[in-house]
Amino acid sequence: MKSTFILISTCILLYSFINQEVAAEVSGFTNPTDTIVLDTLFVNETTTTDHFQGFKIKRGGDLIFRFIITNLLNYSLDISASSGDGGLIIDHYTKRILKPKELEEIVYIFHTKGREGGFSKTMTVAYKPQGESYKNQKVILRGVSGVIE
Amino acid sequence: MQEPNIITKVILTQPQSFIEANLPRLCYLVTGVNPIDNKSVSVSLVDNGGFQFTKLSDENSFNYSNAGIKDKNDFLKKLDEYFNKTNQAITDAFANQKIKTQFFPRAYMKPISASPNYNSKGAVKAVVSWTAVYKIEIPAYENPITRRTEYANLINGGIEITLSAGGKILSFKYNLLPVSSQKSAALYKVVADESAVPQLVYLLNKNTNTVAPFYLSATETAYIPASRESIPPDEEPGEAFKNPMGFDKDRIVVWLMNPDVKKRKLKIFDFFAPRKKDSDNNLPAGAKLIRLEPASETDENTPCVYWWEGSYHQKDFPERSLGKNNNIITELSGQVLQNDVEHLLSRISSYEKKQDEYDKVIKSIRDFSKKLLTKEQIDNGLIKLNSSLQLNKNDKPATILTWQKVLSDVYNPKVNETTNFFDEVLILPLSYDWFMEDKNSITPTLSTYYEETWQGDPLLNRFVGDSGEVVLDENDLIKVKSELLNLRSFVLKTAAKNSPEAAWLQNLTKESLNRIKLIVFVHSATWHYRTEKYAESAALENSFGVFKLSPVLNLLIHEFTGHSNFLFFATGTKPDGTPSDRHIDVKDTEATWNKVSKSGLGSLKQNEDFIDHLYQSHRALGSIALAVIISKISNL
Repeated sequence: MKSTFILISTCILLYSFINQEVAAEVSGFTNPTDTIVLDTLFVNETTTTDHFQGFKIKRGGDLIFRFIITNLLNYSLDISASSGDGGLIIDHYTKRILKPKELEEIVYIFHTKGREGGFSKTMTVAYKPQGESYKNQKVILRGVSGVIE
Repeated sequence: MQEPNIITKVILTQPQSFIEANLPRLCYLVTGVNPIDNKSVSVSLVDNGGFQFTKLSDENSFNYSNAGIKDKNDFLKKLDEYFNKTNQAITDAFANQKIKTQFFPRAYMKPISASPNYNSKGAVKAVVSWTAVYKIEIPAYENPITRRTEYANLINGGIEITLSAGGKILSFKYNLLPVSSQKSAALYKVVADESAVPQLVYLLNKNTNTVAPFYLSATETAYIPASRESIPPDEEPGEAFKNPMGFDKDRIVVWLMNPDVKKRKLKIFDFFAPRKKDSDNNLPAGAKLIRLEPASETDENTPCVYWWEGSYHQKDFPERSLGKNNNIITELSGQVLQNDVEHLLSRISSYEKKQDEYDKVIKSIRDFSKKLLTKEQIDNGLIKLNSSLQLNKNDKPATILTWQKVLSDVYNPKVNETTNFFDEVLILPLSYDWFMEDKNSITPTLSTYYEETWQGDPLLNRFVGDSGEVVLDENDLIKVKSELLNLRSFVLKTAAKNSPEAAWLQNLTKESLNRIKLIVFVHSATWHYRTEKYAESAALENSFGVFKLSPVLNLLIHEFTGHSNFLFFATGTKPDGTPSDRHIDVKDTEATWNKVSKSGLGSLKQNEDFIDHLYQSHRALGSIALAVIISKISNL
């Protein structure tokens, strides 16, 4: 299980290095366990926003958004993931501290039950040098949007 | 007919239909402002009876008094004159209807607070307005033991009036029905006079020790709850006792009632018998407990953990003594409140000395924790809190305006030298219900517009759901702002053009929206929440003694913290120990509850995030809720 995860992560990482601009565009999700793997998020002293659009989802199930975050800086980062809610919450990540060049998987879950029509949700990843105040925090927003049919 | 289990007192009132039918006229007589087609004011009916008036801009203010307000006594004196004059004016205006109503029932009105409001910006603290809250207190009966007159208070509302420093009426909340006369002073007597409907009766619920208003049904023998606090006394259950096993999200946080009360038949309850102040465990009624899993369905006792006098304890309590409502008022309610406040203080210490603005929140809680409120102060505090911060579903914009003001007064972190958090926040008082109001009409204009414009657009379709959400992304914000300006024009072509929402929209400008960096949407179901513990993954159980804010206001506090400017925007831990944000899912509570039920509180290893799961309340968000409550009840 762990080796599969490392393999998938490495593939995603390599893919993302080659073409960071391509967003995952997938349709027809029907199962509660469906997972959308987003591009790797590289932290490089920036405040960025990226969007993944065009998802078409069948109503009812839970949808998982998953991505890898990589610290490209030469110092450790304190990371915090959050969501704007509206059905989207953090499912899990394990490390708050990300050492240089270290990877971490962040998983969100979107509950579509009771929702229909267009959706646009935002995942927020904040980071700051380890040990510094939250006032030195930088924020990366990752938007996912589409339609619940 | 005699009802020995409850104390009743008949007060005749004018029906809400009287206010409804005469709202513009009453508003003019009371505030001096003609509300018809007046976009500078918002006037709406209050759900429980009465109406409210809010000034949205400074134009055309009614200058009640030309002379400025000098001090508190001067303020109350001016209000007294005002009540006199207005009562006379209303009597004259409705002379042909032969209404005996004293619109302001001065004999029963008692001021519980009168205080200045200061400007929240700038270096100089200047008084900008004065607010007074009056409760309605009715002599109920003579207590044969003490020979004192006992009073019943209308606890779900009162009269709140705010005058500018120059004497202009800025807001007015008449949160009751006009009292027309007192029918009888007799104890234990319900007089069914059906000539004036509805009648309001105040019932003492012996299970919760609260007095709350009910309407008397004109057609059947029944009490109709007239407020959220109006809980009819329970009948003795006929079924065999069964102690529920397993996790039930609505029975995790419970409150101790007098353990013997529910075992006794209500109909033979002797109100004047000496009351047992403490339970077997020396805990007063109203104490907050965490109900754990009982040993078996037949066990009449249930293990509970609780915080009392500085530490956690675990003991068994009779299952029948565990109530689902914190509205339990006794002589010891002050002690219960103080305990809850001290508990929270002990839990938020890790946030201290990290942000100046939040340190002020902690200081206000610490200062308040040293006060022991009397029962009367608790009663008055409830009235003031309910009068000031009650959700009025008929006027969401006015409610939101009030809430945002009180929130920014208690906690408004600096974004930079010139900007504070709430300068950049827009809470939408719009709702799915409002858009859908004309859905069944012949020309469903607004609802059709909503379906075509909002519902299909991923960036705008944010009103449907069971919680709320925030918009932070720059592109999303541009879209929402642009659509709000479109809606501002469009709404004037619809049947909703005179709604408070339409008036609110007219006050939006491109310039005012430019500074907004966070827009909060409240979902359709959330506006109707009353006692819900969660709004999806937002925990809402932020109660302190008998005090608790509206679930919607608790949800808003949760939503604001989705912004990274907040100290505690992303602090939390999942039950498995991995990081989380401020969300607490019902599954988190269930996992933590299972752990504590099996292995005791020690299994949580004093991790405050796990305590949050168990108490169904994020401690930092709870502290903001408490600071709001304190701001309303500390000066009684």
